[in-house]
Amino acid sequence: MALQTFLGALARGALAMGAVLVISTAVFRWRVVRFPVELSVVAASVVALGYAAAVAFARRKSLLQVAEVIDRAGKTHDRFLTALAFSESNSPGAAPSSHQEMQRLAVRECVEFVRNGRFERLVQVRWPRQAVWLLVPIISVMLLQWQAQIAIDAKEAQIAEARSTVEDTAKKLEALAREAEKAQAKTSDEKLKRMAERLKQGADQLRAQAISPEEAAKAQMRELSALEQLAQEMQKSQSGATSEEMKTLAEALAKNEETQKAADALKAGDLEKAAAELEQALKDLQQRKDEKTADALSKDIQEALKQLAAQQQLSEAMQKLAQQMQQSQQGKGASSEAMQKLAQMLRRMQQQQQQGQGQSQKGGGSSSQQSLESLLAALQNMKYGQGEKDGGSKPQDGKDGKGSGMVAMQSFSNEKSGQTPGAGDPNMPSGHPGSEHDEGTTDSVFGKDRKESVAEAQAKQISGTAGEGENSMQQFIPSASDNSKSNRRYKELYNAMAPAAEDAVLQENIPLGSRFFIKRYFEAIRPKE
Amino acid sequence: MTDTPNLENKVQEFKASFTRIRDEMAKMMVGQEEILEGVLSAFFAGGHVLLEGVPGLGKTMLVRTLADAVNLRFSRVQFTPDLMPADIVGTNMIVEDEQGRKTFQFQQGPVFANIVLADEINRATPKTQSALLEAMQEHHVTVGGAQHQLDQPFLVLATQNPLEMEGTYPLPEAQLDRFFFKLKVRFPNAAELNTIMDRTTANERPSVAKVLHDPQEVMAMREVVRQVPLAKEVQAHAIDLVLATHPDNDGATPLTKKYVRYGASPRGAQALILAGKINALLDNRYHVSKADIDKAAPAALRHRVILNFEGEAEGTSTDEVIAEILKLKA
Repeated sequence: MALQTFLGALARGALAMGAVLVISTAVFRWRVVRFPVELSVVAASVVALGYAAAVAFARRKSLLQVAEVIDRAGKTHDRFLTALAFSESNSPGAAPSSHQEMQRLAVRECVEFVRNGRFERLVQVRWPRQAVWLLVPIISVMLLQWQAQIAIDAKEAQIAEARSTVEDTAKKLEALAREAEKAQAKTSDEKLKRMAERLKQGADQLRAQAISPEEAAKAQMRELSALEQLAQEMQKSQSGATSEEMKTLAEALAKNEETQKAADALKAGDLEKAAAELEQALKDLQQRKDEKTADALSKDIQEALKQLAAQQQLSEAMQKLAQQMQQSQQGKGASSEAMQKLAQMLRRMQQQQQQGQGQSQKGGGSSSQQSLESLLAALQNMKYGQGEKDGGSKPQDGKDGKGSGMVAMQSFSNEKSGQTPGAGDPNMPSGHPGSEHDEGTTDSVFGKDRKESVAEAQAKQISGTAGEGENSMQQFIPSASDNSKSNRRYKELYNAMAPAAEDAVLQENIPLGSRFFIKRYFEAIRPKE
Repeated sequence: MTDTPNLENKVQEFKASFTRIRDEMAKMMVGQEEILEGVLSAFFAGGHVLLEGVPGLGKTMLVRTLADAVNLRFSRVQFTPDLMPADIVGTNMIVEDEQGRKTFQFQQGPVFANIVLADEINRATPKTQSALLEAMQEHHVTVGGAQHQLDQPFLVLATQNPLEMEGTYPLPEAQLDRFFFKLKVRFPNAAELNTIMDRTTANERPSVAKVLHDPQEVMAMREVVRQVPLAKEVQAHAIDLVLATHPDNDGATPLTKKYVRYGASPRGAQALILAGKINALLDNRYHVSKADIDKAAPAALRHRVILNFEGEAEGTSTDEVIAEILKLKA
């Protein structure tokens, strides 16, 4: 009886757990996640068994109750019940009365009836009727699992494809992180360390978010944009020349008597005065026409700048200045031009300091700046290189940025601030809306390769001798050639960038009043069909 | 253990006698096996029977046949509105002896018989009806301050016509409760009527053999009935059935709660168990089963359950209430 109760409860419990399993499998199937069938079935079985045991224990019956059940099932006219009741009430030692005699007769009759009858079928353990319904959850779970397996396989293939898509970028990010760590080890700059960590994190996130090719592309763009933004922010905080650069320059200027005052002002940190002294020294030099002194002065300055450049602690402005001076030397130009340029640079630095852009510099800040620029360049290269479907153009390594031109090419912050970027500007992404030459001809989305661009720019460099007065100038035009058009059409670029832009917009909580303008903006930059 | 063979014999004798009496009565009463069995059960249980049926169904014949079969004295009282109690129980009459002295002498009424047929009992006034109360329950009557014992066995078979209710006095609950069974005599079907015609319109009429010869045999058979044991659980089942007829009881069924005003009395449970014992013996068993109790329930409880006004208005019968109880308490 208890076993039958247990089996019945087991069947009911199994049905309930089967329903739970079907629902769970369906949910997992919907989420396209692998359902732990074996573990779940074991857990469900344990729960059902526990439930059945509890029910069997709670509904355990006494002998009389069992006898009643058998009597009812076997239509025995309560013979089991009577026999049990009378056998318990008749004590063996009691004197037999007529009533007890009748009870004995009753028991005897019951025993004979039971002996002659066949009641095995009444106590036979039967399979619960509900058990057949267990087929429903079993088949349902199997079908759902089969279908889920197909979906999961497809998803895994998709993820594998997406991983393979982002793996290259992730590895490059890790390489950049290692480079940043190396640079950080040299300079002990916390920002570089943070940048390295962010790069590693970005690589990990990139791999984690690569669940589909579309998502992988979006994630790739998102991560690179975030890293680029971080690098740019770090770079902004380190603009301007460092104190070491100033010191080196001051020492170079101090070697010559004519520029001694400027060196003192530079050491004192008074850039305005140093510029004024340099201009005064330039005037004196021009008046005296002392070629020997001018040559010596030019050599000293050039040597100092080269030394700085060799130490890779030279800012962009310094690099350009050294380059210009070298050209001036080759072209036997007067060192006055170099001095004039140096004075202009000092004035600009003074202005930057006044504008608060120049922050207090730490030791080794120039190196950090260069590392950040290199990272930024590499990130931008990777970012915009991702837009190409074939991915044929190999992203430029940030390490290659050392030397002239490479870093400056990738940076938007340059000395031409205030100028309106036009078509063919290598420092701006090609295919800018409104560009008339958006035909796509260069290898990079930024225009031509920086080296090539610089080489062409050098070929077209306007050089000359400074004339009388202040209007004598030499202008370096780092523009790309006429052919520096993007090899990618704006429409393709837009399609590549649109998901990242869309993601960025979706992540922001844009006020209702601003949505109209944002919508108009995106409509405005949408390529025409 | 020495009594066991004797007891077994008694049981077997009981069954044989019961069957024979039934068969003899069946000669005269065609197609009324339930009525015959019910009357005999009540007779051997020591109870009285209220027969309800339209006139002409052989109720008087039934009683007379029973008296013939068990060889007991039979009397018949036709209840009418002007019937007085003394007409039933008897009265003290002035009798003059040989010396000319006048004394009161009790003149027994028709109740002084072993089997009394109270025909159309609901036509008599309640005063007259109640004259039977003492006789039915106590088996004696009191007249003029003197108590007169009735002969044993004593069985009252009362009849009432369910159709003609005008000018009748329905039996009070107290008197109804005295009846062991209330049996409804149904109208015979065509086949039974054919048999009745064949037996009653020919020259040869069936004769009833005497199965029992001594009233003591009846008393012995009643003793055997009372010796049949029953398990406590079976007895509890009988009590459950009775309690289920009470609308204010927790075990009351929906119909009981809705239509019943008063439930069965403890006499109802007694009737159930005694009838169950006879049913067990007739089934060759020495113990009572729940099925035996259930079988006796309609006849034992239908007159003990009093319907309320709503039940009467709805036309609900007490048999429906009892059927629901049996179904739910099975």
